[in-house]
Amino acid sequence: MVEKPDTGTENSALHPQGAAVSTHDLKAWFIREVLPLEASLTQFLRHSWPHPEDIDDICQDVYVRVFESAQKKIPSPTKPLVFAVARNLLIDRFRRNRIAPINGVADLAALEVAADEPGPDRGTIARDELRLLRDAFNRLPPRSREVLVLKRIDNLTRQEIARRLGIAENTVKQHLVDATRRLADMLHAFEDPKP
Amino acid sequence: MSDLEPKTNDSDVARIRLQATEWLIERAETAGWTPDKQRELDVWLAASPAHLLAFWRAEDSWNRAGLIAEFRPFAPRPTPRRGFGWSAKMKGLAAVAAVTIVTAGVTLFSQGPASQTYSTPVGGQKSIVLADGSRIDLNTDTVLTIDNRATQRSVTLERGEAYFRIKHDSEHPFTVMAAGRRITDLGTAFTVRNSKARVIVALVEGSARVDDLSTSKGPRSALLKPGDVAVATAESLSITKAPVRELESALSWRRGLLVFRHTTLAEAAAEFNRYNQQKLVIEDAGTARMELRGTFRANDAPAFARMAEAVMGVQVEIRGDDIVLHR
Repeated sequence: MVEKPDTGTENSALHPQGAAVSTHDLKAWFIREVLPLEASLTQFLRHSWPHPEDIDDICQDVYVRVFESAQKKIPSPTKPLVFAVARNLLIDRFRRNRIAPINGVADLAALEVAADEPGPDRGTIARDELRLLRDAFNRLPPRSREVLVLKRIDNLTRQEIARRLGIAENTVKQHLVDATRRLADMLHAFEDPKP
Repeated sequence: MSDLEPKTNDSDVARIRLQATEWLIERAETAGWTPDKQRELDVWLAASPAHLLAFWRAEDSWNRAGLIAEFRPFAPRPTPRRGFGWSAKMKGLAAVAAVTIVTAGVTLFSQGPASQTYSTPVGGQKSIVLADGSRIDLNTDTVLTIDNRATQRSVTLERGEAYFRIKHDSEHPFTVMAAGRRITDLGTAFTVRNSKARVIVALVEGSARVDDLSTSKGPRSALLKPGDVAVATAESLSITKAPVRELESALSWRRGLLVFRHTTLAEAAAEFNRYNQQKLVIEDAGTARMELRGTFRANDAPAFARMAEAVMGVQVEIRGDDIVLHR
């Protein structure tokens, strides 16, 4: 299987007036700088916000805000901006929901310190990548794991996988979607290990 | 950031992430991926930054999942090597009748042409099983000549790399010549690599002797034990000790894999370039020094570049036949 290189097909979404940063740079930045913060970001949100079911939504809102800001200029460093945005969104939600940010207040203060630390460095992550991936991979349901290997490593088509495993092609697709979605959650929920 | 209303109206992030993943999996099925579908995807991505970001997030994990090759228990593949496939054939024959092997086997070291040359192209591999049961695996871009006239078993590694698993016979020692160095088997599995400036011999099992006949100062010799790696250059013959585990990683090319541990991007690129016409080029020293570990398919440099992009954050550009990596 050949993955499509970035042909710029995603560009159309991304050049509102005044956008100064290319999609290619935005994507590289998002993957390199923002996604690795997801673990500490969601952890912070969980501490600060009483409704766990909202965490993914807030996280996504943070991404969108930070992204829109980066379209004008890529922030450097990224981490303080991400947490500042998270904080603003939380304060706003507290207001709208008229609830007192009990945990939130304390953590918002602590946050100022946390945001000053440099974000995880991809070099460090690369070394732990395999351990992390192995753990995540091993937690996948066995069938999804098998299908993922046949697709991702052996580059079989869905039809070939279906035939080999004696299951429907659509089931193969569902396994792939399920495995990739779970992996994304597990890989990004990973806490950067302190050396 | 003046307005604080959430931007994602359809705040069902789980649903967006599911859709993004479905798109990604659909696109991974390259055969069925039509321009129409691409346009449809473009429309979906353009509908909201939330869509785009969810897609990138899924894509990142998909790319990283390519590393699962590292810990997958590799079963022997049905046709892992282009070219000969003698070993598989031999196994099949052995199951039927041992006698057949003698006649069906390669009749090296007996009558026939004075010498026989085997070669592999860049990216190719070949296995040769000799009449005595010894086995030679040729790696990428390799030329090996078997001298049939010699009374002793003798082959010459003209260039490239080969793995030898030799049926030991003290009456008829097996020797490999490489750029003026002679390696003599003393009950052995070993690799020899003949690159431009040096000959490298790594001993996996048993023992072997290396004689450097290339110098005018008389032969230099060394007796190798498992884990020993002899490096013969114009100036010296040196022996270093490597953990056997590392040697086995170095032999993973026989399964079509490259295994890196604490390897710099520059070293990894050089390894890939031995196997592929499409070359990896690293443009700046900072990128060249980045370290990585992992297992990769030797013939899939683009997959490696994608990993470097996704995991190490380097930029990847295709320029002509080159894949250029830079900051």
